[in-house]
Amino acid sequence: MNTMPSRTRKTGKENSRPGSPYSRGRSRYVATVALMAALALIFSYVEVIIPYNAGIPGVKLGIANIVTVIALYKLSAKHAAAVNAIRIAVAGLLFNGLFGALYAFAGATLSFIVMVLLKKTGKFSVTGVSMAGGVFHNMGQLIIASLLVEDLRMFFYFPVLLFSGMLAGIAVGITAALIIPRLPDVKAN
Amino acid sequence: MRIIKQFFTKADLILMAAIIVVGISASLLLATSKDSGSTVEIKLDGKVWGTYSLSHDREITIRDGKDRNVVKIYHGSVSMKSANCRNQVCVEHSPISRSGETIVCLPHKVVVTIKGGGGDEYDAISN
Repeated sequence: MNTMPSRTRKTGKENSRPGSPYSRGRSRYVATVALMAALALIFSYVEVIIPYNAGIPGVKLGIANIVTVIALYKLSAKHAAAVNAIRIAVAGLLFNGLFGALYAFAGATLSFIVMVLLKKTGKFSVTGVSMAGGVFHNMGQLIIASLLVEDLRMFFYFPVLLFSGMLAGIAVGITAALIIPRLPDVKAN
Repeated sequence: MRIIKQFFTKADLILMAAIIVVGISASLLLATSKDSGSTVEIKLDGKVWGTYSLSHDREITIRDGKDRNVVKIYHGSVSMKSANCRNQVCVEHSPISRSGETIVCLPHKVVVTIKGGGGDEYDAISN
């Protein structure tokens, strides 16, 4: 009971949604975000152990982003950001190392901002949002890479990363578009 | 067509087309400007003989005792015009123009290397 005041302050946003009993709602969101972060982490792991290599660092499918996109559509931008941040931090420590996490963080942040903005326009489908996310994920990594390596020749990767990001984004987007309607709505519970 | 409509809106397709256009134009741009060097460095027995700009057509003769190599710069590419070495490998080498490419005349210990413009400077910073 003594946690009530802080709850009411922090959950103002969810509370303002009609039909959302915030006292249960917030716990539900916390649990859902934690579950999705765990799922995304598993996907990150699966991605690491799949033995395929496109030959160029940074070219990968990014199946963990399926979870991010779903979180963006099923929860909210805020919650999806939390899922993403948890996944990158933990996956960075477990699989990718510090520099890998730095690249992933730059890519994910840029891609996430773009996805949120595109979603807000309302003109793009899940696939389109994810496609842009994929492209800007790679762009973010490229920017960080060129800052760290201090070699503008990194940008010779630009077209490759652009197209690979686009294709991966479309694949992730189609998957997410298929999954999203089949999932129960968190808010409705 | 139905499948496309199921997953893509019009805005998606426009965005996709824009990305593809950007990608193709970027790769065309990179393909044409890629690594084209700006200077050529000639080394004789490990020591720099001279560095010359690729933008001026000229011929450079490298003499070392009886050894003689003539390097020709023509329209931004460099070739070994003639050499009085044994094997003539350097003379038969196709012209070089891109950063990092080399022509080597082993018998005379002559190495002709294209040096890049911007690229190498950035390398120097990171090193």
